[in-house]
Amino acid sequence: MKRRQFIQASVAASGAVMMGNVAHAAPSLPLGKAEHCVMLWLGGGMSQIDTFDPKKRGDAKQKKAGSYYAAIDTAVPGVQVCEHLSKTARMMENVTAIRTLNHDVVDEHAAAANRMHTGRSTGGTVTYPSLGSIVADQRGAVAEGVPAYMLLGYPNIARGPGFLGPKAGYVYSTNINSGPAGLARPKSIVGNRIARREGLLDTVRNAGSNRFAGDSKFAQYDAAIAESLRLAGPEFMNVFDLSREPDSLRNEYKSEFGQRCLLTRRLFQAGVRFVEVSYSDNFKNGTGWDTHNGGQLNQHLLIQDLDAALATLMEDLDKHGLLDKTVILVNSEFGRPGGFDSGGGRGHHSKCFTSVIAGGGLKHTGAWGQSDEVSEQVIEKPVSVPDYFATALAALQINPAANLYDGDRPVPITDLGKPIPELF
Amino acid sequence: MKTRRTCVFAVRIALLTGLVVVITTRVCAEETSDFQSKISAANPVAHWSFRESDAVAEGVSLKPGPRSPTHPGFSVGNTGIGLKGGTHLVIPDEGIESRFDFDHGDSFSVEAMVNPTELKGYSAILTKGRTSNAGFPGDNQNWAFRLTSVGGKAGVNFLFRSRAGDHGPADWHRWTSKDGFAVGSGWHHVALSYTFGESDSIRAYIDGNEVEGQWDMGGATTAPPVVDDDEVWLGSTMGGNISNSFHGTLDEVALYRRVVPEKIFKSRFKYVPPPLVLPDPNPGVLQVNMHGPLSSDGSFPNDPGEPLVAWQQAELGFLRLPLKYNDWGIREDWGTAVMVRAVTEIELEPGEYEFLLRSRTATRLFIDRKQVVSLPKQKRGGGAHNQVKPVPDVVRSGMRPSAMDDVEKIVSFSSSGGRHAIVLDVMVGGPRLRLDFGEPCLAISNGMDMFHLLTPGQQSGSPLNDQGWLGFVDRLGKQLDSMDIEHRRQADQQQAYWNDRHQYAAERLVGESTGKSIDQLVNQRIVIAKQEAGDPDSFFNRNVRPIFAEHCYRCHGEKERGELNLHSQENVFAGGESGDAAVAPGKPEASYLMELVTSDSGDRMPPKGAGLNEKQIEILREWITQGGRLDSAPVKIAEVLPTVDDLTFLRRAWLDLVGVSPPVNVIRRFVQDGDHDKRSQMIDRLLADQRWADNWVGYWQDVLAENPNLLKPMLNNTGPFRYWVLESLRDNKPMDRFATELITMRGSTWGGGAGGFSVATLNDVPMAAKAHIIGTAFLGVDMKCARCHDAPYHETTQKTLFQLAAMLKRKPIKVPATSSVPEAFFDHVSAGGRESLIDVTLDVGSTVNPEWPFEVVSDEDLSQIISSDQDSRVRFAANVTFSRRFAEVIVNRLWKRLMGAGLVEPVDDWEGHQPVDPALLGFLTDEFIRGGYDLRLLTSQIMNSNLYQRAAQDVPANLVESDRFFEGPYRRRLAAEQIVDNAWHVAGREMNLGHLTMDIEGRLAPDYFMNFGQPKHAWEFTTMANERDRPSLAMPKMQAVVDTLLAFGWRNSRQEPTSHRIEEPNPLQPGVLANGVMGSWLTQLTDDSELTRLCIEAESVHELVETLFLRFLTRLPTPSEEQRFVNLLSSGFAERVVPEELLPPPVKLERMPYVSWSNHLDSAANSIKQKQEEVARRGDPPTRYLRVTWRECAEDALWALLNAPEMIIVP
Repeated sequence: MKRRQFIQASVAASGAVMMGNVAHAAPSLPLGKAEHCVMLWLGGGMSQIDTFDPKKRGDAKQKKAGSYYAAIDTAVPGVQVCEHLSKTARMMENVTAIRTLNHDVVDEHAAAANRMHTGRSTGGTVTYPSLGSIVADQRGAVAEGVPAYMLLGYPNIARGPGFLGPKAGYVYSTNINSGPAGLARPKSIVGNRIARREGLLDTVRNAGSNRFAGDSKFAQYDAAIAESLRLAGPEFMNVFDLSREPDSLRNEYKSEFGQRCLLTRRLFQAGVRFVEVSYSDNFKNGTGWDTHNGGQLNQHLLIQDLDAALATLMEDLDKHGLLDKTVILVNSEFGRPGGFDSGGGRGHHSKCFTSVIAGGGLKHTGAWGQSDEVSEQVIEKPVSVPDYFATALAALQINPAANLYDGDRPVPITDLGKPIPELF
Repeated sequence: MKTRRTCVFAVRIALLTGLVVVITTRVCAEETSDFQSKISAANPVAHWSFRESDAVAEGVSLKPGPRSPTHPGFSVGNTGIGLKGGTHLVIPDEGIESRFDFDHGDSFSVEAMVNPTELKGYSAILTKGRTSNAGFPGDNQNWAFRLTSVGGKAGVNFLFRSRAGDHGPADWHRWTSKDGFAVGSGWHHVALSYTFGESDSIRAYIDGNEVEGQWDMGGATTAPPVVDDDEVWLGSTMGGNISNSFHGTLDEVALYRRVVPEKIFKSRFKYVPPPLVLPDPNPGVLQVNMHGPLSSDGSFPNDPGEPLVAWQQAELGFLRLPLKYNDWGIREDWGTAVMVRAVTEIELEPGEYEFLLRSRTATRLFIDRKQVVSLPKQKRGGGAHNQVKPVPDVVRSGMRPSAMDDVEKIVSFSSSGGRHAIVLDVMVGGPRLRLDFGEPCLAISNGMDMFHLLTPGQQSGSPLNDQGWLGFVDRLGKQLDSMDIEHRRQADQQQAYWNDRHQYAAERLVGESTGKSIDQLVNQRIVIAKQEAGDPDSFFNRNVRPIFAEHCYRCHGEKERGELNLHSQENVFAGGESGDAAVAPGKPEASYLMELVTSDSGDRMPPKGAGLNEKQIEILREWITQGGRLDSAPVKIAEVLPTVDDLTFLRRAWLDLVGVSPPVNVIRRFVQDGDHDKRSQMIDRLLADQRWADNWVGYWQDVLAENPNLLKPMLNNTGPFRYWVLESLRDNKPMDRFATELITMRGSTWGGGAGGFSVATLNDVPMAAKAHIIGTAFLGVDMKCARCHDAPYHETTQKTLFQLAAMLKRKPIKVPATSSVPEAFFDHVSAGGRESLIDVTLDVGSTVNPEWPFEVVSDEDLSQIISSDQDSRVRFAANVTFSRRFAEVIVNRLWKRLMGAGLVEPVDDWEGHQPVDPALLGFLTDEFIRGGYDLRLLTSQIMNSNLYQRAAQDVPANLVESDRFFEGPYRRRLAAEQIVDNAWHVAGREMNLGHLTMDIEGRLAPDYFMNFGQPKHAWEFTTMANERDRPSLAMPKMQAVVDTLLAFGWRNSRQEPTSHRIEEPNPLQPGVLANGVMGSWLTQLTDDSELTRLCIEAESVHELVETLFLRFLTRLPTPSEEQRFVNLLSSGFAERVVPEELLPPPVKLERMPYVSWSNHLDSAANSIKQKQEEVARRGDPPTRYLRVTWRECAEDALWALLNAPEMIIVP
C-alpha cells in the first residue's frame, strides 16, 4: 500500500474530526511581542490569600480560615490585593494575578519547584528543560556575546536545561556582590595582575596552538577562552556594578531581592533574554515563603519586599521603554491554604493558587479566574500549569505548540498548554 | 483427620535467588527439652523444632535458638532456623480435610519463639495460602501469623481473607496488637488463638502477657475464610517477597486445632537476664569488638556474645564502622543498631586525672569494671526548626570542640598508680538512623593540661586539638580501608564459579583465531577501502549522497522501512512496499521518491522537520533524470599517523589509566629510561594503580544512571551504588560478573551495594527504567521510547521493555497510565497536518509477563552456567552476559574511551549501525572473552598497539561512519572528573571540603538523607539539591567543585543513562577554571600546597619554570614561554622566602556554629552559610613563607598554566 493511501485509510477509520485536522493547518495561536522575561521566584510557596487573592480576614489564633491582612483596592476596579502590596496595587493595570493555577504536587518542595520551572510533571525518561532554558534555546540572547539566561539564586536541576544541554543553561550568581560564577574575577585579582595573567596565558595558548595545529577540539576551546576573557572584562562586568545606579533608585528597590531586580533591568539592557530572580532573604521571617508555624508572623516583611521590588521594577522598566517588552512572572512551587496550622502558620496547597504575570505588552486584567472564599478551590476559569507556560511563551513570541527535540525525539514545548487568549 | 501427628515432612527450601533444594527433614525432637515437652502436651497438629543438622541448606541454616540458662526449659545447645531475604520452608498441603485447613467454626492457635533482626513490612512466621503459586489466586490467605511494626516495636499480627457469600464480597481481615517488643532484644514468645466466625475470640500473647489489639483492615467478620489446597509456608509469603518475610531466627513453631488455654500460653516464656559480662583487657592492646544486632530500644546487652568484627587500634576514638560484605564481596547492611566495645588497660602514675568522654549515641564507660559514666541515646528526627547553637565550649584552650549533637562528659579519677581496665561501649544506629558516628572518643588529662586520646599502657595519645584529631582520623581511616579490602576479598566466594564459566565461555563463544593483531587488522581495512572507494566527484556522491545521509539512510538504509533500501540499486529501481519504483531512471515524474519529497500532505518524506528544500528537490530530480545510479561511496583516508614521543605517550597513558597527569619525577625517569619495553611497563604499572578504578567510576555512573540524592529522594533517585562500582573495579571483577551483580541487584540498597540499582524513586515502573539502562549499557539496545510507545527508529517495542521489566521485578507488570501517550498528543500531531510516527501498542492496564524477548542463549548454555529453575533476574543476567553481543558492547565502549570513536556508534544504541571494522571488533571480542572478561587485560592489549601510540587526529564535525579508519586515535577531551581531579593533582592539594551531607549530626534515615563522606575524588560528588533555595542549605565549598564539574559536562543528576556527555566548549568552561572558586583555590600558594614547597626549594628560576611546565603540561616550555615565565619569576627570586624571624603568625580561622538540616530554618543558619560562602570564595589564607610580590607573580604563572587549553586535551 502506498504511504498516502495508508494514512488516508487510517484517518478514515478514526473518524471525521481527524480528517478535518489533517486537511487544515492548526488554528493560529496568539503571539505577543515581548523580548525579555524575568521570573521572580518566591521559593517555599507564596500564600495567595495573603497577597494577590485576598479574602475575608481570618484569625490564626482561633484557627479561622481567611486572609492574614486587610485587602485594598487597586488601579483595576473590582480587583483587590493585600494591604502590603500597595505600590503594586497602584500599577495593577499592568498586572494579571492568575488566581486559579493548580497542580497536584504538594508534599515536596523540590518536586513542585520542578513542576513550576519546567511546566511538566517529572516523566520517567526525560529530564525536561526549565522555562529559562526553553526561552534561551528558542530565542538566544538579545545581544551577541552575553548569556541568554541568567539565574540570580542557587543552581539546581529544576532551573537547568535538561535535555537541551549546557548551551541552554544558565550563568548564575548567588548574591549581588559576587558577580556571575565563573565569569567574575576573584576580588583579589586586581590591577596589573589581570594583564599579567592574560599575557602569560597568551604565551601558553600560542605554544599550544602550534602543538595542536589544525585540531578543532583545541581551537574551539581556545576560542572559548577568548570569549570568556571578554565576558570577564569590564564591558559585561560593569552591568553588575549597581553603584552606577542612583542611590534613590536603589533605595526604592529596597531589599537584596529588589537589588536583584535592579540588576535584572541592567542585564536586560545588556541583552540578556531571561533572568530568574530568587528570593533568598529567608532570615526576615526564618522560613522564607514557606510560612509554616512562626514563619507567618513576619510574612508581611517579605510581601513588602516583593511589593517594592515588583512595583519599582515595573516603573523602572517602563522608564527605559522595556515594560512592554518584558514579561514579568511571579512564581512559586505552590500556594498555601486559607486555614492555619497548629503553629499559626500555613501548610502547602496546590489545588488553587496564584502566579502573577505582568508587563510584556499583554492586555492585563488585574486578575484572572475566581477562587472560593478561602482561595482553596477553583470556582471559575482554571488555568493549568501548561496553559500558564504557554501564555508566557506566546507572550515571548514563541509558538507554544512547537516541538523541542531530545535527540530524535520530538517533545512538545509545553505539555499541550494553550495561552489565555484574552491576554493577547 | 484432625489430630494426626506426623514426624516427617517433605520440606522444600526455596531460596529467593539461589537454588531450589528438596530435602527431607525430621522435625520431631529426638531429645526433648522441657519446653518442647510442654508443647507436645498441648497437642499441636504440627510442631517445628529445627534440631536436625541436615536442615542446613544454602541460605537457610540452623542458628542458636533460645538456650539455657537465660531461657530455662531449653537445652544449652538448642537451635532454631535462620531466615533472611525471603528464604522460607514450604510445607505441602494434604488436600481436602488437611490439618492445615481452617474453616468456619474451626479453632486455631499458633505459637513461636522469635528473634527478628529487623522488621520489613510484615514478617511472616507461619502462613497458609497467598504463596503466589501457580494455580491459586494471589489472595487465598486461609490464615497468616506474622509480626509487624507497631510504634517501632514488633507486634503480633493475624490476617485472613474471607469468602464472598451472604456476608458480602470477599475481603481482608487483619488484626494487630497495640503493643510489641523491641526488635533485636533477643528471643520472645508470641502466640495467638482464634475461632473462625467469632470475631471477638481473638487472643494474643507476647512473652506470656496478653496484648490488646484491634481488627484494622477489613474489620472484624463472622464470614468464613478462604480454604484451598495451597501450601503452608514458614518464614515468608507472596513468592518470597522481602517485605513479607521473616528476617532473623525462629524456633518452636507450633500449630493447634483448638484454643490453647490462656494459662498455658501465659506460662510458656521464662527469661533470666544474663549477668553483666565484661571482658578482660590484654596488656598493651586496645581491642575493639563490634557486636550486633542490638535491641532497637537502645538498651545495652549484658552479654553481647561473639563479636561480628574485631580489630585493634592505637587510640580510643571512632570514625566509622568497618563494612560488611556478602559472599559476592558486595556491601551489605549490618542491621538497625550495633555496639562497638573498646577494651584496654592503661597504666597511670599515682595522682588525680580527668577522663573526657564524647559521643552522640548511647555510651557507657567502665573503669576497673565499675560503670563511671554514661551518655544518653542519640537524638532522632525533630524536623528542621531547631535553633543554631553557639560553637560548643571547650575546657582547655585550643581544644577541638565536640561535633554537632555529641555530648561531652568529664569525670574525675583518682589513681593510686598502676593498671586500670577500661571498657567503653558505644551504641551506633537505631531505628531510622544511619550507622554513623559523630566524633566519639575517650581522652585523659592530668586535670590541667590538654586532653589526649586514650591509648593502651603508658603511651601518650594524640592531643584533642584539631591537628591531633585530624591526624588520628587519617590514620584510623587508612586502617579501616585496608581492613575493608581484606574482609571483602575474604568474603567473596564466587571466583571459582566465574573461572569455570569463563573457560566454558571461551569454548562456546569464541571462534578460530586469525592470528592477526589490532594493527594488522586496521591496516588491512585501509588497504581494501582504498581499492573499493567510489569517485568523490560523481554527481551522486557530491550532491545526492549528502541528502540521503542526512534525511533518509537512517530508515531506508540502516533499516528498510517500507521495504525501501537506498543503498541497494535494485531495490531503488524496484521500489518498496508500495510496489512503485522509487526511482524510474530518467523519469522523475514517474518516480515515487519525487512524489513523496514534494508532497504537502501527511505522507511527505522526510517526515521530520520542514522536509527538503527546493534546491535539494531539484538535485534529486536532476539525478533521476540522469539515470538515478547509486555510486559507491568515496572514502577519506588520512596517512597513517606517526608514533608519539615519550612525553606525549606518558601524559596520554596517565590520563587514560589513572585520570591525572604524570608527576615530574616519573617524567624525568621515564625520559631517561633506555628500556625498549618501558611503555609497556608503564601501562602495566598504571593498570595496577588504585586510581585506575576511580578513573572509571564516573563513566559507569553515567552509563548506569547512578543517581543518589543528598536528601529526600526525587525522580529516579537510586541508592549510592557508586561504592560497588569502585570496589568491583578495584578488585578487577570480570565484566560479565560486574553486569550480573548489577542486574541481580545484590547487596545493600542504601549502603553502597549493587542493591542500590534496584531503586528508582517516584517512578511508577522502576524496573522498566532499569531494563532500559541495562539495554543501553550492556546490549546496545535503546528502549527509552518504548516506555510509552513504539518508536520509528527502533525495532524494540513497549512489550519488549515491559517483559524485561517484569523479569527484573520477578512478576508480571501492569502497564500504568503514565506509560502511554495521551490522546491529546495525537490530536496535536494531526492538527499539525502530520501522521504520527509513533504507535502505542500496549494497552494501559494490560499485564505483561516476565519473558526474555531477545535472541536467547541456548538452553544448553543456560543450563551450564546457571542451574535450572532460577529466579528471573538471574536468567536475565545470564541472557545478557553470556551473549557475544555483551562482550562486543563492552569492547566497543573501551575502544571508544581509548580511541575517541567507537567501532560501532552510538555505543549505547547499535540498532541499524554496523561495526565499521567487523573483523577488528570480532578479534577484540575474542580476546576479551578468552581473557576472562578482564577489562584491564584488554586495556593493556589496546594500549600496547601501535595504533594507540600514534599521534591523535582531529575529529571533523561530519566524520561519517564509513570514513572512520583509525589512522590514529581521534582527539579526545578530558572528562569533567579528570579535569577536576587533575587540577587538584597538579596543584598538589587534597580536597578537604567537609562532609557531603545535609544531616551532619546523623538524625535521619539512610534512605532519606545520605552521607557521602568527605569527597577526595570528583566522582564522589552529587547534586547540591538546593531546590528549596535556602542559603542555609548551601554548601559553598562543595558547590565550588560541583560548578566546575557541571561546566565540563558532568551531570549532578542522572535521571537517565547516557554514554555521551555534552562537552561542546562554551565560555563558562574556561571561565570557571579562570575565575571560579575552585580555580582560585588551586592557584593560590597556601601553606599546605605542594607548589609552595616547590617554590621554596627551587634552586634556580629555570629549574622552577621547567618543573612547573612538566608538572602541569608534561612538556618543556617553548623558548618564548621560557623567556616570559623566567622573566616574571626572576625579579625578587633570591629574596622570595620570608626568613624565619620575620614569619607572621598563622592566620586563625574562625570556627562557625554548626548548621545542619535540623536547624536550617533558624535565621542564624542563613547568615552563617552566607559567611561561609564568603570564606570559601576567599580560599585558604596565602602562605606566610613567600614574600607577597613574588608570590603573586608565581600565582599568576600557575594560573596561566592551569588555564592552558592543553589542560583539557588528551594529547
